[in-house]
Amino acid sequence: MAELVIRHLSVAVQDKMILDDVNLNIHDGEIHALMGPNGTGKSTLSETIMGNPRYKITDGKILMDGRNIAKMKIDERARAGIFLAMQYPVEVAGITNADFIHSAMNARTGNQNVPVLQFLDQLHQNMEILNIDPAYTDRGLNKDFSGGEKKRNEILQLMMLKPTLAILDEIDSGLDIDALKVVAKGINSMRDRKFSCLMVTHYQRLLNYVVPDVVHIMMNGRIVKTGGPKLAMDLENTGYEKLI
Amino acid sequence: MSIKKVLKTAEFQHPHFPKYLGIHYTPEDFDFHSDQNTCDWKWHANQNAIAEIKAKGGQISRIDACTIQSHQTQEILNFIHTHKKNHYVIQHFSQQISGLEVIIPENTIIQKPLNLNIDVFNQLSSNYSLLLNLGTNSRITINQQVIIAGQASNASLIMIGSQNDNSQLKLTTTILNHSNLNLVLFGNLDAARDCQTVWSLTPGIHGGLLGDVAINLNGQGSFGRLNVLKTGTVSDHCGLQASVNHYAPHTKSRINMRGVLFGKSKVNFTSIGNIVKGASGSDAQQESRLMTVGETTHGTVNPVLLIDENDVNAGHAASVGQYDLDELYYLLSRGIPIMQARKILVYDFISPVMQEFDKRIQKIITAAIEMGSGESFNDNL
Ligand SMILES: Nc1ncnc2c1ncn2[C@@H]1O[C@H](COP(=O)(O)OP(=O)(O)OP(=O)(O)O)[C@@H](O)[C@H]1O
Ligand SMILES: [Mg+2]
Repeated sequence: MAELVIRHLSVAVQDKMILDDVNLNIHDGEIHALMGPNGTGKSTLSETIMGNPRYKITDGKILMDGRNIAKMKIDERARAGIFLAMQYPVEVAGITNADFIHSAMNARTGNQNVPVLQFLDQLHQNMEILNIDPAYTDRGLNKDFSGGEKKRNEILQLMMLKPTLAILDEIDSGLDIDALKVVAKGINSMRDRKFSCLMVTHYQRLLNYVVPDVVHIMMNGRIVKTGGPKLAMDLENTGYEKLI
Repeated sequence: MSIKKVLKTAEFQHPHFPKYLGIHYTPEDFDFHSDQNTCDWKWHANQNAIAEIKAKGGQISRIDACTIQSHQTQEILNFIHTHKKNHYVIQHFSQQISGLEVIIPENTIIQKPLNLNIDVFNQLSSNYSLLLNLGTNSRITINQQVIIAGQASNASLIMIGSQNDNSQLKLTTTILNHSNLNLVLFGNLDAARDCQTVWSLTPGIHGGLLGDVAINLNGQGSFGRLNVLKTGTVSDHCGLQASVNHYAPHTKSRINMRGVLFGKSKVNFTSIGNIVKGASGSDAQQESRLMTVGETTHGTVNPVLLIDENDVNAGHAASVGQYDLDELYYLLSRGIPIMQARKILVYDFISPVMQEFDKRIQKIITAAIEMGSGESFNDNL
């Protein structure tokens, strides 16, 4: 199970207040969409949940399954089941994509390593679903991947690591329609009572393929409106200003 | 005249402690405290390479005061002449000589890499010299590993190589020691025409290191590559200068230095690409980088290009800094524990130089990094 409860959360970056009293509730198995204009704090919220040290919580709480995660280290949060697909994934040439994912899986299973053959089998299956060239197994992590390839690689990690709470920060940006369908297929394959998800997006089109249970609109560091999938469609027609 | 006698002549009196741009060291640290009269050391190497070298007319022979041959004396004297004001070179050869000479005759290709191990057991200061001689059209790979196992507080290592036309040398030099030591390291590899020289150096010395290594491209069309990989742990200090001198046209060089600083270690790297007048069409590129991982490390890199010719290509890249915190964050965000995540970034950093060494040496480097990773860090994560 994974229930995320955010209460009165305020966050600052370099002493500048970005999030101001954010409240959010994601129940087990729900997929929520978070939309809003540039610079309103969507990535800030995502990064704060993951524990990025740049973002300082000045007030409020983040609870996962009732546990306050603010004091947990980044890697502990990840092992507890949180996953953040980043807006701009970094490149690390010195570790292969496969070794990296394998290490991350092994870190979760404690002392018992995931057997190599079993791992490769799963990896290749998921790569096939995501239309990723098998040669990318042995490339450096994200090294010289195109924007779209990096996004697909984030979803590959999601499928391999099987988190209970995933935050996907603009996973659809820079994807053509075919790649978007592939990524959506990956996300939908995770849909489960035990999988909760927060998807940050600017585009309603993603929500046609991954239909959210709840849609939130964020402006100026606050969640200003919450509704069903129809809210995103209305937004597409009217724009943010008219909506509130 | 013996080397020792030559060194007593007026010409070699009053040498200086050598000065290197950007390298700070305490001269006395590297002074021998006692004269050494016997050097307790032995060497061994893989039999298949020794057999191949012998079968093809080559030689590996021990040099000592009794058996030294006149051509060896001559080579050493030539080296001394180019370093005649260098206190440590004079100090080195004022001791009883000990070392090895490897000779590969012309038109000879040695297929098997020669894994040359030198174990030094001295309790006092020790010196060791390696002479390399490659004939025209010859080729060899030598992995030289020097282990200083005794309790000596000082040691001195000198490597003198000469390559005749169109020969190819791939040399790696690994130095290891057991107890804390101050080591001076000097090396010159001279290449004639159309040679290839690749020298990869990993001085894993615990304690102090002062080094000055150079490849001289004396004949046209030669290529020299100098790779250096240094891991500093605890309070190691290291000052190392790596140079390639272009003395002939159409010569090409690459210098690639990487240092990883753990604990409280200090590393100064200086790299010099020197293109003299007349060496037209030459190309000198260098890259020196230090990664400061430990809590209170200190590192500098000093890239230098000395160019006295217009028609050349030269460039350098240098950096000193921690690993990228965004990269560290990304690894952590997938659940990889912090110690492992840091190590991934360290291996990422050294990988361009790491791949120049064979598996056996990579293992040694890995062990040094594992050891350093146990020390405290400055990333507050
Ligand atoms: N690391 C940082 N350093 C300084 N300011 C930051 C940092 N991260 C975010 N900010 C600032 O915080 C505000 C919110 O940024 P954030 O990235 O959360 O917006 P966003 O809603 O994700 O925007 P976008 O849709 O463009 O991705 C912006 O004003 C941004 O400049
Ligand atoms: Mg954003």
